[in-house]
Amino acid sequence: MNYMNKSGIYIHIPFCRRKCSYCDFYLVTNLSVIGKFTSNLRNEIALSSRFYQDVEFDSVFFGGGTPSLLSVDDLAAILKTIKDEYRISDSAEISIESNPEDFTEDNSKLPALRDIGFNRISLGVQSLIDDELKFLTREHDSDMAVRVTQRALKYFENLSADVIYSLPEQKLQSSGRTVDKLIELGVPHISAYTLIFESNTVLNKLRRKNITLPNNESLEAGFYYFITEKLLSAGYNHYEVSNYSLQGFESRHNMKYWDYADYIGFGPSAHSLFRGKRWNNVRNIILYNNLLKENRLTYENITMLTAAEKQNEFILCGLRAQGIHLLNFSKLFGKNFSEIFVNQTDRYIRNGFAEYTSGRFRLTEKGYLLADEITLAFLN
Amino acid sequence: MINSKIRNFCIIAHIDHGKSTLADRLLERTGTVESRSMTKQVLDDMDLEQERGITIKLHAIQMNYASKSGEKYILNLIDTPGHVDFTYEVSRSLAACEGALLIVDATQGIEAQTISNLYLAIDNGLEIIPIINKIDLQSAMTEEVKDQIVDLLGCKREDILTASAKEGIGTDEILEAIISRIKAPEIKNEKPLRALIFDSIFDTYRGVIVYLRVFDGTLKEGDKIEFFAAGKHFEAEEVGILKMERQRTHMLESGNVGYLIANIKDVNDSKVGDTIVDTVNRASEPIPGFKEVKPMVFSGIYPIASNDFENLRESLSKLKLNDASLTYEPESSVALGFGFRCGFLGLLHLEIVQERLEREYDLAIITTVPNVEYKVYKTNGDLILVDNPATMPDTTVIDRVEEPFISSQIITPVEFIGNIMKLANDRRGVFKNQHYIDTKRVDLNFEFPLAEIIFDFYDKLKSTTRGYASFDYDMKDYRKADLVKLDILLNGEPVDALSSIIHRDNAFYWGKKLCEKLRKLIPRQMFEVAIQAAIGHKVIARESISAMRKNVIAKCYGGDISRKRKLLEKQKEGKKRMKQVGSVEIPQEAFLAVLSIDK
Repeated sequence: MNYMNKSGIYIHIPFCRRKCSYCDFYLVTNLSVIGKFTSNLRNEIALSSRFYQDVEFDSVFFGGGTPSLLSVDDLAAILKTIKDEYRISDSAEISIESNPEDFTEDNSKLPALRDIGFNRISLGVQSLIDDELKFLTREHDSDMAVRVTQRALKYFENLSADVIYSLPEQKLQSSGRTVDKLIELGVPHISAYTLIFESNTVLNKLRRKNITLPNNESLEAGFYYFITEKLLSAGYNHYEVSNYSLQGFESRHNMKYWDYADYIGFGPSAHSLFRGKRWNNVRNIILYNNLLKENRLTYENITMLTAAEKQNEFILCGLRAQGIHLLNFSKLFGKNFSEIFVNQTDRYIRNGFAEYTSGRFRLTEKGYLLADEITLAFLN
Repeated sequence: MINSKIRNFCIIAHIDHGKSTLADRLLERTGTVESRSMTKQVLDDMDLEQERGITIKLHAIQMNYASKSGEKYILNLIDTPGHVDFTYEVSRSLAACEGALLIVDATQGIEAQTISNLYLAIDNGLEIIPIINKIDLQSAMTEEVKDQIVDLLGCKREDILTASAKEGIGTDEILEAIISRIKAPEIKNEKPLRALIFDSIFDTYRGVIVYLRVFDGTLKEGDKIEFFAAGKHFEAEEVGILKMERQRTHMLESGNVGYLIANIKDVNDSKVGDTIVDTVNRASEPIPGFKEVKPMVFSGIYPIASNDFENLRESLSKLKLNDASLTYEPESSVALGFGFRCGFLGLLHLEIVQERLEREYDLAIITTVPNVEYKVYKTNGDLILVDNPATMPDTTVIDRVEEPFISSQIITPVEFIGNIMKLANDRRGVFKNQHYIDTKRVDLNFEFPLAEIIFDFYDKLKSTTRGYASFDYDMKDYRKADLVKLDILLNGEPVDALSSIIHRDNAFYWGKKLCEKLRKLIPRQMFEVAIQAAIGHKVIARESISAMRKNVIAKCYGGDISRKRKLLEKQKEGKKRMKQVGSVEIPQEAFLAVLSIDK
C-alpha cells in the first residue's frame, strides 16, 4: 500500500541481559546464541530481498530487545546486508534502540555506531529517579542515564529518550523532574508512556496478587496532562499519543505505522504490513534459527486485509498521531472522509476533541486522551 | 344421567413439588406414552416453561385406564398455569374439571402458592385428592405434612395418599382414587350444546385449535356453532380428543374434553372462558364465569436497531397467534424511535414475551418501564386513557387522574402479619378485612393501586414472608389519585422513555433513587452527563456522571495495530447494544432501572 511514503525496515533483536518487570516484547536472555542469530538474520534479510526490488526504503529501525547489546561488528554486518540487498535512500533514518548501560564511559560504542551508519539513537532512560528505576527493574541508575545521554548527544543530534510514568505511588512532581531534566539536556525526542500492566509480565502478576495496582483513570489523565503541558511549553510537538519532539525530530520510522505506510520486519516476532497484507515472523528464536538454517522464511498469520479492515486500521492509526490524512483516505478508500463521517466529526469538533488542520482530521490534546473511545465512532 | 366412565381432573402444586413428574408417571402408567420416548416432562413443551418451572400455557391430555376392577375409564388431565398473572386462566381450567390432585412436597410441606389455586378449586366445587409426594427422600416429613393437609382441607388423615412420582411409588393408588373419588361428569346429551373454552393454540395450517370441555349436548362435525361472548359464528370442521397428538372422533359428547377446529383465523375469537353454543338449538345462557381478559400492564418494546422494526412487528404477530392476552400497537418515542406499546396480564407475562422475542426471534430490544392504564379527565370534560407516561397531557389541562385499584387476597401464616402490613403500607395499600382460616393462617384483604403491585410486589411479599404468603387479585375500580408525571432529563433533554407516573408523595424519594440508579447504569461518556428528575419544570433530584478521563492505550506500533483493531471492533459490537439518545449512550438495563428500585 505504498501510496505516498517510502517504506520502512524493522529489525528485531530479541536479546536482553534480563527482562524488565513491565516488558512484554519477545526477547531471550541467553546471549550465547547471538552469533548464530546474526547470521540467520542476515540470511533472512538477503532471502527476502527479491520481493522488494522495486521498493525504496527511507527508514531502518533496530528494535528489541536491546540492539545495543550486539557488537559493533555484528551490527555493521547486518546493516551492510541491508544496504547491499535493498534500495535504501541516502537520507534514510537509521535508528537503534539502546540501554544506557551499554555505553559506559570507557566504551567507544557510541561513536562506532555513528560511524557504521546509525544516525538516530533511542535511549531507554525510563526515569531519572533511582527508586523509580528500581521499581521498573532497570539496570542503570539516574546518574548513568544522565551521563550517557549527554555523551550520546555529542554523536547523535537525533536522540530519543523513553520515559515511563504514572507509576504506582509516583508523585506528579517526580514524573515532572525526569521530563524537566531531559528537556534541560536538550533531548529532541521523548517517547513518554503511562505504565501498562501487560498480560504475561511480572508486573501483571503483582497486580493479580494485589501487590502493585495501576493508577486509576483519573490519576493517569492527571499525569498525562502534566507531562504534556511541560513538553508543549518547552516547544515540543505532541505528534502521537505518547510521542513528543522538537520540530523535525519526529521518528520517521514510527510515523510509517501511524501513516499506514508499508513496513517489513525481520527477526523473530517482527511484524510486516506490505501492500495490504499483514504477517509476522515466528515468536521463537529456536524455531527461527532452525528454519532459516534451511533457508526458509518464518512467516505466520498471513492476512490479506479486507477493505473495511484496512479502513479501520488507517483510522485507528491516524487518530492516534497526526490525524486522518484526507487526501490519502480518499485515494485509498475511494470515499470522502469528511462526508461519510460528518456526524462524528461535527460532534467531536464541536466538543473540542478534534479539528481539521493542514488537510487532516486530527485529535486535540483533549481528544488524544480519549483516542480509543473516539476511534470506535469511526469503525466499520 | 351420569357417564361413569369419564373423569376430568387437574393437578395443583407448588413449583418443584412434582406436578410434571407425576403427570409423566400417569401418562406412562396408562400407556398414553412410552416411557423411553418421553422428554423429561411432557406437559411443558416450551423451553422457557421448563426453565422457569412454570406451566405457562394450558394443555390437556386424555388417558385410557383399566381399573383394578377391570372397568375401562377415560381420564382427562387438564394442565394449569401456576402464577398470579394467570389466575383467570387457571380458574377456567378448573371449571372444566370435577376434581383436582393437590400435590404437596413431603420435604417442604404446604406452600402458600398452592393455596390460592386450591381455594379456586374448592370454589369451583372440585373434589380434592391430597397427595404427599417425594416420600422416598430422607428429609421427608410425611406425618407433619399430613397434619397440615388435615388442617387445611378438614379431610380425614387416611384420605391422604403418599407417593414418589420420581420412583413411580403410589401411581396406581392415585389412578384408583381418581376414579373412585372424583365425580363422574353429569351427562346432558339431550340439552342444547354448551362447551367451555379453556385454552386454544394456533396452528399455521389449521388456524385456531380450541381446547374445550363439553358440558351440555354434543358437539359434532358440521354443527353450526356460535362463540357466545365473541359473537362469532363458525362451522365445526374437525372434532376430537387430545392424546399425545390430536385424535379425530367426529364428535364429543357431554362430559368429555377435546378439541375443535373450525377455520378460526383469529385467536382473539376463541376467548378463554367463552361458551360454544349451537346456532340452531341455541342455549339461552352461557356457562358462567367468563371474563374479558384485559391487559393490565403496559410497556413499550423497541428494537435497538431501528431497521428491526418490521421484524419486531412480525415477531409480535407470531407470538400473538398463541397468546390472545398479548396486545400491541405501534407507537413512537423521541428517545427510542418506532416501537410498540404492548399490553400484558402482568409482569411475568411481560418477561416471558421479552425473553421469547430475544431468544426465539433473536431480536435486540429495549423494554420500557411497565405501567398501568390511567383515566385522565381533562378540564374540558374529555376522558382519555393513558397507558404511556409520555402521552400524559400537560398538568394544566388535567382536571383529575384516576388509577386502577385491585382487591387482593393474601393468605399468610399469622407470624408474618406485621411484615405484610408494613409492605402494604409502603405500597399505598388499604386494609379492608382479615379472616382467620385456622389458628395458624390468616386471610388478609387489601385494596391496592395496581401500579404499586406490578413491579416487584410479589417478590417482596414472598421474601418478607419467607415464601409462605400467597397472593391473588382482582380488578376493583378506578379511583382518583394525586399522581404526577416524573420526567428524567439527560443533559437537560427529557428522555420520554424514562418517564413514569407516580404518586406525588413518593415522587421525591423515587426521583432521587432513580437518578442514583441511572448514574450506576449509564457508562461514562466523553462528557459529563447530568441526570435530573423533574416534575413539570421543577427539578427534584440530580446526579452526574463525570466525563471519561482517559481511554487510550499508550503504545501502538507495528505489531499492535491488528490486535488493537480487533479489540476495538469487538467493543464497537458491544456499543451497538446501547441506544443513543441525544448524545448519550444508554444501555438497555437503564430503561428498566425503575424496576430495581426499592420502595
